[in-house]
Amino acid sequence: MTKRRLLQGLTTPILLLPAALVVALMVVIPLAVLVWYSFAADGPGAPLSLDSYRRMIASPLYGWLALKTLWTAGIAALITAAIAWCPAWALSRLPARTRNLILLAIVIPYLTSYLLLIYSIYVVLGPGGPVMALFRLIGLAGTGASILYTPTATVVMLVYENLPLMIFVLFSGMQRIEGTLLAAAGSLGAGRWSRIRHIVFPMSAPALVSGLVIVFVPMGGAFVESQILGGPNGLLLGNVIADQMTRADDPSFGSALSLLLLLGTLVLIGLVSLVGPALERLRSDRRTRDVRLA
Amino acid sequence: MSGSPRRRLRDAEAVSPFMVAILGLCLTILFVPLVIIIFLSFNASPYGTFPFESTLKWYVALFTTSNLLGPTLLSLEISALVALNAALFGTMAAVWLDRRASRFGGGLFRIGLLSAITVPWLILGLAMLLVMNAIGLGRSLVSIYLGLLATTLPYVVFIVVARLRSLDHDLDHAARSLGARPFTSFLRITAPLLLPSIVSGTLIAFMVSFNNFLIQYFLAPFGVQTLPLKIYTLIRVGYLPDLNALATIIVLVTCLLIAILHRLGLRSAGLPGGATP
Repeated sequence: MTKRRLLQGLTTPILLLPAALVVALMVVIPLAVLVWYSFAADGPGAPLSLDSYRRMIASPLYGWLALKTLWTAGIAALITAAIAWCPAWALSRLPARTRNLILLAIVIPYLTSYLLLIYSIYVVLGPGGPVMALFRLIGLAGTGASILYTPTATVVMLVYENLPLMIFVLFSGMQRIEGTLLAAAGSLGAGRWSRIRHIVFPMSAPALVSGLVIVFVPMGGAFVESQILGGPNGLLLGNVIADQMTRADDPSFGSALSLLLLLGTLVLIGLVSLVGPALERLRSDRRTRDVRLA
Repeated sequence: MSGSPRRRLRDAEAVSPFMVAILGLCLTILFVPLVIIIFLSFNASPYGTFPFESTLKWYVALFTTSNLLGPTLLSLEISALVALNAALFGTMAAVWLDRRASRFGGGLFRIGLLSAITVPWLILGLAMLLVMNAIGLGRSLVSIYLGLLATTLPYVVFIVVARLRSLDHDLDHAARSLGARPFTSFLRITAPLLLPSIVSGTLIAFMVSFNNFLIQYFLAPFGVQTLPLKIYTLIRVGYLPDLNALATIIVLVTCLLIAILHRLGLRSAGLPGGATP
């Protein structure tokens, strides 16, 4: 009996050991080392200093770049949500068979290598590609013009690669909205628009917020998109961070910039998640005031 | 205004044609770039220009003269190894999380796993390189293996844990009460029930590892090129007809894998319909 207990006591750590070692070595320790390196401007052995942060603040370039990166990612996340909202709602109301087929189709670009997606967008947006041909046809663009190598192309790519994920997240939130609620609202005289506005939108708001967060974080860390499609004016903080490690060979400064990016992302997410409840409070205040007035 | 009240009720639950139209539009946007690449892979012009003239020469080139095949094979090998190991270690960890973990230990482990997929991989890859340099592994195949393993483990663990949660523990208890040792009971009762989710996890891990450019970018030894790294260096050269052919094959294989995932139940794979990983 004690032998069996001993065996069981041994299997518990063995079950966890490989996974825990990998996660510790490749995730937890690296993130800790990242923080440490950001304070070790003179190499890991030297006394800690704030030099990397001083350098970061001394030039307005980096703060500006961080704002531009968060702005680009934020705009791209909002556009993704705006494009994904109606399709996700339509999906959640379709019969199960059609719905599953369409969901399967949307998984294809989601699981395709995003370098292949970048390449395909590169071909599509090129001066000879179909998108510019269409723009020329409507007279929006001159011959030879292209949005390739502009920051717009970066946003297009970010939206394109994150659209499937946004649809999934919105869909799984909207799926839980009961059709009977809409029927009840309809029977009380609510039109199509007011059903969407007063039932669907508020009830899917949590999914919207989590969708925005889920796509915003990787968008903030994008760098291949801006490097290949964004052109000379399209560089983002991610490009500078990657360069610190690969070309400039300044891991301390790269770490400090990474933490700036992480912090900026967290602050913005915090703000977004505060906005929801604040709006809710505002609305309920107004409602109680209206009731009191009545 | 029109129709009987009952009909109006049904209409209120139905989705408007406008929304369905936008869904159609959105699907078109998603697939146009892929369809164009597939279409161009059969076009004879080396610059993607028209008129369209159908040919298979880019597929022949891909398997004979093209330098894309080596990186593809390397990527396949690394990803297969990573996926299989992620499946084994991930399942073990999932069983631990579900059966043995203390609240504190389990929570800590979960946070570690979540950080592996929420911290942007640009930053995580850079941080991994710092540690690998410090312990002397540097940029090497071992580093790539460990890095990819860390970023794929969370998918397997979360998928298998979700399945374990939904299992009926009484089956296990029944086997145990009839005298089966814990290991026997796991192997004969729990493992077969878990198998679909383990296979889903392995496939997802394979695809994540195959496509994970950023981790490979930071940890690949100089001169060694996986497929994403190869595409990255080639993409600035311009239009690549043999890459079109390769992309077509990859998209088709992805479709096949998705079909397998569908048979196993997409929901258990943490894909649409369920919560995202």
